[in-house]
Amino acid sequence: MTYKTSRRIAQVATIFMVSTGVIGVTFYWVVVPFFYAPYQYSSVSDPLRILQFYFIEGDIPWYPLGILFVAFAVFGRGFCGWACPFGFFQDIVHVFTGMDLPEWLHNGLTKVKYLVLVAVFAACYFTATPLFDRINPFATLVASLPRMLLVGFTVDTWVILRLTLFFLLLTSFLFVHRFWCRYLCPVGALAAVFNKVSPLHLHLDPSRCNKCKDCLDVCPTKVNIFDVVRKRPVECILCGDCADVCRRGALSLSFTEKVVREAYTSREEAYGPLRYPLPPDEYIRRKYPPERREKPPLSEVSLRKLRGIRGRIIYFYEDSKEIPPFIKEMETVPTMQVWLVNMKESINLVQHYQLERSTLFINGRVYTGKLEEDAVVTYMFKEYAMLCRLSVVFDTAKCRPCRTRDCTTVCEKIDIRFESKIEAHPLTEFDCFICGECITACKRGGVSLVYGEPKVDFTLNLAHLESLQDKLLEVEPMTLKAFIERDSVHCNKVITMLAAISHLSRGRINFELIDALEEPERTRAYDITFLPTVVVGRFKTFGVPTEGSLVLLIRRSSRWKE
Amino acid sequence: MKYGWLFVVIIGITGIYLGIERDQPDYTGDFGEYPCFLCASVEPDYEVVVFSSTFCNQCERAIERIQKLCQLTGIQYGGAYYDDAEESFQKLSELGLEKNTDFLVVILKDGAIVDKDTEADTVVQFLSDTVKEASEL
Repeated sequence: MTYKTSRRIAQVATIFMVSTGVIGVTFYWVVVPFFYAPYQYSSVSDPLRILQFYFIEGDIPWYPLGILFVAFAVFGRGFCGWACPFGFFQDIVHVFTGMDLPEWLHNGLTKVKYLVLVAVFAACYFTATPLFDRINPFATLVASLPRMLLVGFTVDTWVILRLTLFFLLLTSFLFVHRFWCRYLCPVGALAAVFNKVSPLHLHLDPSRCNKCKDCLDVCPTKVNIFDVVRKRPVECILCGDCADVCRRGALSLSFTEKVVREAYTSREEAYGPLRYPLPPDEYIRRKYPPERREKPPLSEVSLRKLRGIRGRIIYFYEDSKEIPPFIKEMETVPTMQVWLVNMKESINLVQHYQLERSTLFINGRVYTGKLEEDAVVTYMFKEYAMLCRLSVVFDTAKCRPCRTRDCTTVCEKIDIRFESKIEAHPLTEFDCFICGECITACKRGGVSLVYGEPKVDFTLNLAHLESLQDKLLEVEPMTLKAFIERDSVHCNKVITMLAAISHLSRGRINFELIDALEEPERTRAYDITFLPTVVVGRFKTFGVPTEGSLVLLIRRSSRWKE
Repeated sequence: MKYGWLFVVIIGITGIYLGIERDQPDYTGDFGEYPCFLCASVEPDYEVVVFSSTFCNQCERAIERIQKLCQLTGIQYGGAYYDDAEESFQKLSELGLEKNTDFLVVILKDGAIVDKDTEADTVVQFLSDTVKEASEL
C-alpha cells in the first residue's frame, strides 16, 4: 500500500473520529494536534481556541500544551500530512497541478505562519476574545458556511471579511498545493519547530538516490528533499508523496535512524591486502561523521574520477557471483544508474540484445574493453567528457510539418521548442547518453548530433542503414574509434551515422570519439592524416564513409577477428 | 539531538501531570464544549441568570464556571441571585418561576425563557447544549 492510500484512510478516519458528536459521543478533554474549529458535530477541542481561552484566563495551559508537546515531539508535523481535515480539504481541491509560486516568494511566505501565530495571540490579548475564530477558514468551511446556507445570515464587516478571505484561500488551494499549511497555518507553525527533533522523519538512502528529482516535483510544501539527511526541514509535513514517487525506493518515512548497509565485500577482500598499512587510529585526528565512513569501498581514485559524472550501466549476468564488485559499488554513486540484470530471469531483454554471455552495457552500448575497475571508470570519464561536448540538433524546417513526432515518442526527454530553424541542445541538458534512437526514428532526417557548431548540411541514408540492420546484428561487439574535429560538417555526419549504427546494432557497435587536435599522441599512434577518420578494428576509412561501406567494414573487421 | 524528542516528551508528560493536578482536563473539556458563536458568525444574544442558595459550595463553583463561560463566549451574564436577597424573589416573580432547589439557572433570549436547569454539576454542559441547539451551531 502506498503512503498516499494509507494517508487518505487516516485522513478520512480522522474526520469520522472528530465528528462523533453526531451520535452524541464527545471527548472535549482531547486537544487535537492539528488545525481545527468547533462545528455542530465536533467531538474534540481545537488547540488554538483552548490555548487562547487559557491565555484570556491568565492561566498556564499545562495540560493542553503537554498533549501538544507529546504529539508534536513524536510525530512532528506528521499530523498536518496525515490527520488534519483542513489539509485533506486542500489535497482534494488542488486540481490545477503544475503551477506554483516562484522560489523567492515561497521562501519569504513560509515565515508568515509564525507571524500569524503571534498575531492570533496578540489579537486575543487586546480583545480578550478568541478573535481568530471570526476569520478561521476551517470554521468558515464547517461551521459558518453550512449555517449561512441553512439558516441564513446577517451581512456585517466580519462576515464580508470572513467570506472574502475564505474564497481567496480556496482559489489559492486550487492552484497551490497546501497553501494554508505552507504559509499561514498557526498550528503548523507551532508544530514545525518539533520537526527538528521528532523521531518520525523522512529518510533518504543516498546509495539508492540517483538525483532524478521526481520527489521535488510532487512535494506539497516544496521541501528540498536532499536536505533531509543534513537537517530536518521544518516545512516537511511527512506526507510521503515523495517516497511514493521514488522509483528506486530511496525515500521512506521512518521512526528510527536507519544505517545504510549494503552487502559489499571489503577492499581487502576484493583487491587483496592494502599496499600501504594505515596509521594507527590515534594518529588519525579527524573523526569523520558516520555517513562519511559508510562510503563504498570503491577506490578513492575511481570515486574522484566519477564525481559528477552521469552514466548508465547495465550488466547482464548469468551468475550473481560473477558480478564485479566495483560495478555493484558504483550503484552508490548518486549520479550513476546501475542496473544488474539476471539473464535467466530477463529472457525478453536477452533475446532483444541477442546476448550469449555476460555483457556490460555502458550508456546503452556494449563495453568491449577490459572488465576492470580502472578501465571502466576511465572509459566512463572519457565518455562523459565527450558527451558534454556534443549537442543534439533539431532541424525544425524538416520537423515542422511532421505530425507523427516520432522522436518525442521514442524519447520523453526531447523537447523541441521551435525557437529557431536549427535548434541545438547540449546532450547534458537532456541527460542524453546517445542511444541514437531519435536519429533513426526521424524519417525526415531532422535529428543530428554535432560537435561544436550546429552544421547539419548532410543527409543520412537511414533507409539503407535500416535494411542493413540484420547484418549489423550478426557481428561481434566492437568499438569503433572516430577521429574528429570541432565545427566540421563532415565530422558531424560521421558522429550521427555512428550513433544510428549503434542503435540499429542494439549497442553492439560502440564508438569512441577522439578529438584529433586535443589528443595528438593517439592521432599520431593511429597515423591519422585526414579528418574525419573512422578506425574499425584493423581497418581505417578516411573522410565521410557511406552507410553501406561503413557497415561492410564493420562486418569485415568482425570476420577478421574470427 | 538524537533523543531530543524524548526530552520534549518528558516535558509534555510533566505538563499533562501538572495540568491534571490543577483539574485542567475538566476545564479543557468545558472550554472545548463552549459554543463557538464567532466560528459560525453569530452574535450571542442570550442572557444567563442564576439563582442560588447562600451556603452552597457546589453552587458557587457552578457560578464561577458560568461566569467563565459567559466571559469567553460573549453570552451576557445576568448575575447571581441568592436566596436571602429581596431581588431574588422579585426576579423569580418577574420571570414567573418558582425555586424549590438550591440551584437554578435560566437562559433568556430577548427576555423570554429559553430553558432552565437545576443541576449545578452539569451546568456548563446544559448551557452549551441548550445554546448550541437554540442557535443551530
